[in-house]
Amino acid sequence: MQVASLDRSTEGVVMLELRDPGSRPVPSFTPGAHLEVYLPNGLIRHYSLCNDSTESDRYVLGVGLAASSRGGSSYLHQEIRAGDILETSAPRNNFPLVADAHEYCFISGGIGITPILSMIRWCVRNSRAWQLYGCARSRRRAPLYEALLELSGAEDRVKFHFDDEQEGRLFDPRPVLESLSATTHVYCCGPGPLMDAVAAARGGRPEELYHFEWFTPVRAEAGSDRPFCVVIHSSGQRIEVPSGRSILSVLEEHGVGVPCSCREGLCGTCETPVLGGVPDHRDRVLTEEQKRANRSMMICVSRAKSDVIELDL
Amino acid sequence: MFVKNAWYCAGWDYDVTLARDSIVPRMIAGQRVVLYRKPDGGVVAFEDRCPHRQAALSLGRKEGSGLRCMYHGLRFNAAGVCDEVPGQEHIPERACVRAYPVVEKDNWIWIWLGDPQLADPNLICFSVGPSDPNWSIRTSKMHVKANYRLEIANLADLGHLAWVHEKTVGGSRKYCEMKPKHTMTARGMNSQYWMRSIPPTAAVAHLFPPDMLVDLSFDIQHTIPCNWIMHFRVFSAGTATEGESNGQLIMDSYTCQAVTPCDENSVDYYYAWGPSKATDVPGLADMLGKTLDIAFREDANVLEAQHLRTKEEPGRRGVDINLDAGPGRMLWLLDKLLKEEAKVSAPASALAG
Repeated sequence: MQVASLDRSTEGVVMLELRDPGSRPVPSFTPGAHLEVYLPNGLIRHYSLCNDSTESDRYVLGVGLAASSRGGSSYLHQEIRAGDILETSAPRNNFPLVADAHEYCFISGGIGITPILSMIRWCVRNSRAWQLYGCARSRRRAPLYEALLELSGAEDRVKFHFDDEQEGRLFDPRPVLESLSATTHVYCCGPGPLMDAVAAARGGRPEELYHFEWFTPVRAEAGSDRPFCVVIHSSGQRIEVPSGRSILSVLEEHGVGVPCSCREGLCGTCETPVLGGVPDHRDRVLTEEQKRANRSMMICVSRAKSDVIELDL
Repeated sequence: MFVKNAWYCAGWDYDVTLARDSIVPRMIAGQRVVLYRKPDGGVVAFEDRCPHRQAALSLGRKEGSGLRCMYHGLRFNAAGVCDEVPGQEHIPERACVRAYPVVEKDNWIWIWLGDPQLADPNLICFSVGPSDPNWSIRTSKMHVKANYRLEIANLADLGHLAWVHEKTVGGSRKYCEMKPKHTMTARGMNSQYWMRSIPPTAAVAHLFPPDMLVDLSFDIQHTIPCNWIMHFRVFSAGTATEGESNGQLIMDSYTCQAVTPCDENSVDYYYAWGPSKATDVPGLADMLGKTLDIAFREDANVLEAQHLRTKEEPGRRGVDINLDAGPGRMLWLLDKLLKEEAKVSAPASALAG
């Protein structure tokens, strides 16, 4: 994807507009979706899409500068220029919007507004009832403030909470949540303390009404991928693949040799047929269609979404 | 680095004759070899070094089924055992030249460089030679100044046909888009490719009507070290998008190629191509044979330049792309066999330590 434009108008935030370099349509997405961005420095980061999900020609990502950035957000803040090419995954959604709710309550903190903005745009387009509680440390640091004001409209659907205008007090979700109707779905994305506060204020309301996007996700870090079990079809052997290790390297350690070359998901040498389980494809060899078919995987980089994955070895 | 326990092609059967002067030196995987035929027609392969002072036995003289070194006259029987040291009675026990196991199969001469106990002729790759009555095969050879790993990679990826053989046996970008099916075997890899509804390649386009499209089937058996046997078929373009073409078979052919490393810097390339007798027409086999001579010179130009560059910067790590899957598999297998041999041949003390 090519960086078509950048917007740094909010302090600590850069908005990236990505388009296909050949001006082809981009794969569609649903509200709440994110892209995996493969940074030239080798890091992989997830960023939510905030534009209207009916747009087929672009993605808009919001990237907050993480205070303790290890080279992901700081790269995008300092190095990236319009015209640069960024490798990304197709859109994925771990934070999908329930389509048939009669009312939606959104709570965002800081850059956590990005997936929620695409949800709000969907609500407006589909004439659904919604309200947003948008939190930020200050008005100046509130991402997408102007866009939200516009969407707020006459019904005053957007309420802001700026910590510095409340004598540093954080947003208290309890009164809001207590006033919700029994079927309103709550979507929350923001810093951990905000999401913890919302989760704690749930009271007796059903859990399925609450949806969280853990925005500093454990899953985004290569070293903290969840462990799973590989079954070798020919021998029935079961081998645990721990976090931070590839299937390939663990199999080699167990004497199961699989042809390999690049170990980066680029060459396709280690392509291995999948007999059971769901791969988490992370290679640059299979097409999106082949990835969806889940018939084979590159075991040097791809992992498992399921707890067990069976390989035809 | 070379795998020792493998059959290496030492040339075409006609390279070694009963003629008095047919004593053929070869460099095979870093070893100097001399080949000759005994009066009964059997091929003998010796190390091309006299055990006395390393004179070249290939400068020697055939005597019956034996060979005499023409420096100091030591004579060796067909088993490589010295039976005469002119001027003395005593024949030193160590006066033996190494004799390699030799097998002739499908008009190729194969020699085994490793442990003679392991020289199983069943390990020689399948091939179709010029004496096969069902095929009209034409043979040839070429010396290429490149490391054999580059040849392995070249043969394990047909994507290069799009560019290297633009004017001969390739030329369509579709060669890069073919998704081969690679299956590993004990000592190699089988690869299947289909190309559907493409124009005939430049070398043969003049033989077809202008708008004619064809389906091509490539069915390849690679074996270590670098033998490459392809069953290649041409059909008129059919409608099938998977599996066998439902067009009409125009040509059924085999091309058999044995790339024998001489040393780390060059290979002897023995190759052949020809149609089945059923699909042959006069002139076809000769055209195919000549086409390979031209096409492999195209490869050699690329590989020789590549070889020079990789020698200049041997440590440079290349970028990997999707076309590397076939080469990656064959080179992985080669490295695996090399490692296994290194382990077995390591001294006992090293293993104990």
